Amino acid sequence: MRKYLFIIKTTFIDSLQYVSSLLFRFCGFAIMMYVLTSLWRYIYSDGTGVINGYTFSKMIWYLLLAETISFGSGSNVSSSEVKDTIKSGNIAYQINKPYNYIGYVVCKYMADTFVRFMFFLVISIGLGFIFAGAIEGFNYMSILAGIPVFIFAILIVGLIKILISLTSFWVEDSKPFQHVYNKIVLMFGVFFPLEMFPKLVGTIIRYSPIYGISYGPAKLILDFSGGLFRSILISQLITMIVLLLIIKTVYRRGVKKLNVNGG
Amino acid sequence: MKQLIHIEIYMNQELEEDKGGFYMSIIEVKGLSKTFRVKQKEKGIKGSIKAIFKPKYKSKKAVNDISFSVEKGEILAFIGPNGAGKSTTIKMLTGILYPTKGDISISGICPQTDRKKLAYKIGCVFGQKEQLWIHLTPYDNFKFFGAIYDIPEEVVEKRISEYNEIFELDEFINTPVRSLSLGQRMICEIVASLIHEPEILFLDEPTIGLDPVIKEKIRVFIKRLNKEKKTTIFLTSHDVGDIEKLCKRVIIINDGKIVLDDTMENLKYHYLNKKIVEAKMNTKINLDEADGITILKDKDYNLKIEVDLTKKSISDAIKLLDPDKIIDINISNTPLETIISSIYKGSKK
Repeated sequence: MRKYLFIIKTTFIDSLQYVSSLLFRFCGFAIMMYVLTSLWRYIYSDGTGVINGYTFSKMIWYLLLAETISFGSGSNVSSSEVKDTIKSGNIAYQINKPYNYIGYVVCKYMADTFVRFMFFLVISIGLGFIFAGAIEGFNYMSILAGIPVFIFAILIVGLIKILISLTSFWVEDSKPFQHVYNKIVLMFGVFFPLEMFPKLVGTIIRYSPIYGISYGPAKLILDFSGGLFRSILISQLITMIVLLLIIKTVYRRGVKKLNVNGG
Repeated sequence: MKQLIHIEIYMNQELEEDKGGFYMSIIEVKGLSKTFRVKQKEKGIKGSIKAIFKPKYKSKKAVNDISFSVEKGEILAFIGPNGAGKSTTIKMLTGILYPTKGDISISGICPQTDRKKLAYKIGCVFGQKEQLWIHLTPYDNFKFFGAIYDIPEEVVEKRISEYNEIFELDEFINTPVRSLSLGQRMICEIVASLIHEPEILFLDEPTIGLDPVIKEKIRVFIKRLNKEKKTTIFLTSHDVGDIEKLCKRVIIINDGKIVLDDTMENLKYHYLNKKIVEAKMNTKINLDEADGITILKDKDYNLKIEVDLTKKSISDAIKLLDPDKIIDINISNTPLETIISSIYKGSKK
């Protein structure tokens, strides 16, 4: 266990090198939020007070919270680093160490993400108050319940990206898969809450990982209830178990067919 | 039954000791093979499109049924031309690649089934790959490697200061790895892979691209490590200096097969039956190639010949040159590099 804590600590020190680059990402985040807020303001400007249960303020907060997970979990560790490590052959150095490689990557990812996530969370809260004011009917219990839900959401995003990166054992470039994944989450989880979609699509989202990584956590902060908390946690735990099992299988098979070229 | 096995092991050990020392194989390789599937692609756009829909693969036998063993405390050179199968073999020995066929035992451990357990016993340095965290300092890196090998902090500190004395790490121990020179980085790579004091150190071209001073520093250190801590060294290198100065035994691999497994002494004895004679003459002489004499260079008053000692003695060769006309003479052995490349070429045929 000590070694995994050390991996987290070391990554944390390492990621502090990138703090300045986060400031540039902040610009992208702020511009995007400004455009989307303007778009929603225009939609709500026809006098519609509530759309599918969301007021303008709630919609903006939903967007900000879902975007925080999306931007905050955009660590390179789970995506390009794993992919590049496999492709360059540097994985040779990492799989013959006395730790579980997947555990190593997950620890690295979580430590790297912590810095990013906290940064974007602070920014989002600030932007939320500027663009939409305080959350209507905010329940302080949602902060407590939100801690495990947001941590699991970030973990699930990491696991999905690690799984996609592990396909580099077979395919030349796993980047297109990452790209498709990002767009699906953006479209069906971040930009619009589940209630905005037709019933069938909504049901699919409800039983997909998107529920645990975008919709669920954001909704919990906006409309806290014990039932919702339980349902999100169950969905997240199931998703994590399934993902870990798939990752374990894929990794085991991938390593067996590993072909490290070039000396 | 357990007792019987124990007695048998004990007797075998006694027998080995009777032979003049205690020998125990720390690396055992039997019938090891590795076949890769390599994607084939026809040239041009047409070929690229065809490869998407109907990919073709070709099997390549990188390692072909090799067997050898390495004794504890030995320094072995495992050499061969590019693409011979050296790195593939090292990667199978260290548990990175799965063999297609054959058995490996490293310190009694199967690398593929017990990779984690093996990790504590071995250290690896791949000259062309890096394991250090480039944004961190060497000190933070060493602490990190110490922690993942479960070494108590005070022991890590002690070892860092030990290596500090040997390599004068003080100069750069607090500089981020990304700002270090190649030589400093390589020294840090070696220290990082030794922080857990492994029984076996696998070095895959550790001196590649380094200047002679750093090379020498590393060689001296490896020798010292082997002598003081009895660390078994498994070295691959294209640098003949590494092989000549460090290794007592050499295995040459070519096209995936072992073409020579012998001591350095034997290698030199069998292949050094040729001498190079370089002479500076006071007048131009016309020397014809004779039995046992090969002219390598004949320019102005300078002459370079190779003498095959099985056919002609050195004194006979000098007589042919006419000793009265010699201003200066240098007699040397065939460089090891030439010997090794002739073995590479010979095995190709």
